[in-house]
Amino acid sequence: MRLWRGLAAVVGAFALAATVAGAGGGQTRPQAKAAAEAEPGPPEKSLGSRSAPIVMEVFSDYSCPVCRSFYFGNIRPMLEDYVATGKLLLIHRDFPLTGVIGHEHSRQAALYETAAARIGKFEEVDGALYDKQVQWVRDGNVDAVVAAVLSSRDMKRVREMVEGGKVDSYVDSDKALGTAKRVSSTPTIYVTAHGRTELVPGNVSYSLLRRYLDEQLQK
Amino acid sequence: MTAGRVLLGGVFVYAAYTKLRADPLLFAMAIDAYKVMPEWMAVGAARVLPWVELALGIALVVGIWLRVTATAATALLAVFFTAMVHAYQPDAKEGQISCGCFGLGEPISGRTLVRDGTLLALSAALMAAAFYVARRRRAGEAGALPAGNVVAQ
Repeated sequence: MRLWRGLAAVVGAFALAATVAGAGGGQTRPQAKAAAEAEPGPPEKSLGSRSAPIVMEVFSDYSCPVCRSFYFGNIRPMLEDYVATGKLLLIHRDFPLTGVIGHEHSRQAALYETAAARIGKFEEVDGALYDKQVQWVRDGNVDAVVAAVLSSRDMKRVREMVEGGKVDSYVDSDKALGTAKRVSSTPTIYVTAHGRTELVPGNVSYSLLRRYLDEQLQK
Repeated sequence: MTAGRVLLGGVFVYAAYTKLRADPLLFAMAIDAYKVMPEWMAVGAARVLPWVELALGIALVVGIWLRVTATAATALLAVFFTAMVHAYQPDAKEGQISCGCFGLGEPISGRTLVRDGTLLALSAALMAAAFYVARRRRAGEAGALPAGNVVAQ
């Protein structure tokens, strides 16, 4: 009898503990999730290994056709040849050419991309903005282009950040950094290797850029 | 004339120095950006041009073969100036081409065009002066010869 009572007490205690834990867990997880969704970290706009021997910093404007050419002609192949192989860290910097004709939606695009970067979706939005550049530069509908590559849940978070002014400071700080580095046009590319930073022409061909990067890796 | 050739020579030497201290491939990229020659030629030009500029600069400063060096400098500056005018996009904020005059990082602008045009004018004036002086000297020598002969007779 005593044995049965003891067993019942142990089972009861386990059941109570499981109930409390379950209830507690049920409250904690959504709260943590909500907190993470409410305030994501700073935007992650770099691709590649932080220990890569070469660092390339690209100041660009999403409305700029030369930036688009640089993206498709150089960045895309570099992602495969250098970034994926750990040889190069690619850092994107926003330098929207506000006030210049044809760049009326540049800042809006930079804001959406920065918001996406805060939730780890930089690469998708970066590619979509260049891919559909002609379309959104003409109609100004940046939102639709970004929405096409994000889930509705992610898009909701991106819109909240853009509309709530949660990413303006990041775009402003990129622009201020570019101004401090005497960036006057886009794209402006800085390549750092062996502790030395060099300016690379924005309309460089991939074959020449590749020769230069390979030369830096061989040094 | 001396001040002109020393100034022009100094500019050429400085231009060569800024290119020789950088990676030749970076200068090749700057030349290639002008899109006036095939890529292989841009790479070759990037390796040769700084040495040509250095040789011209030193020859101008020293003052040797002035007619030849002034003509070569004028021709080179005329090529640079034409390429710059061709590539110049007033008020462009995207895809600006680096002048490549004194290394990278200086986009082609009204200022660079005025500077290069002034150097071209200086070089052309120096070339004209060098040819004029040489002709005067030859004329002087030719004029002096019969007189010498008369004295000798």
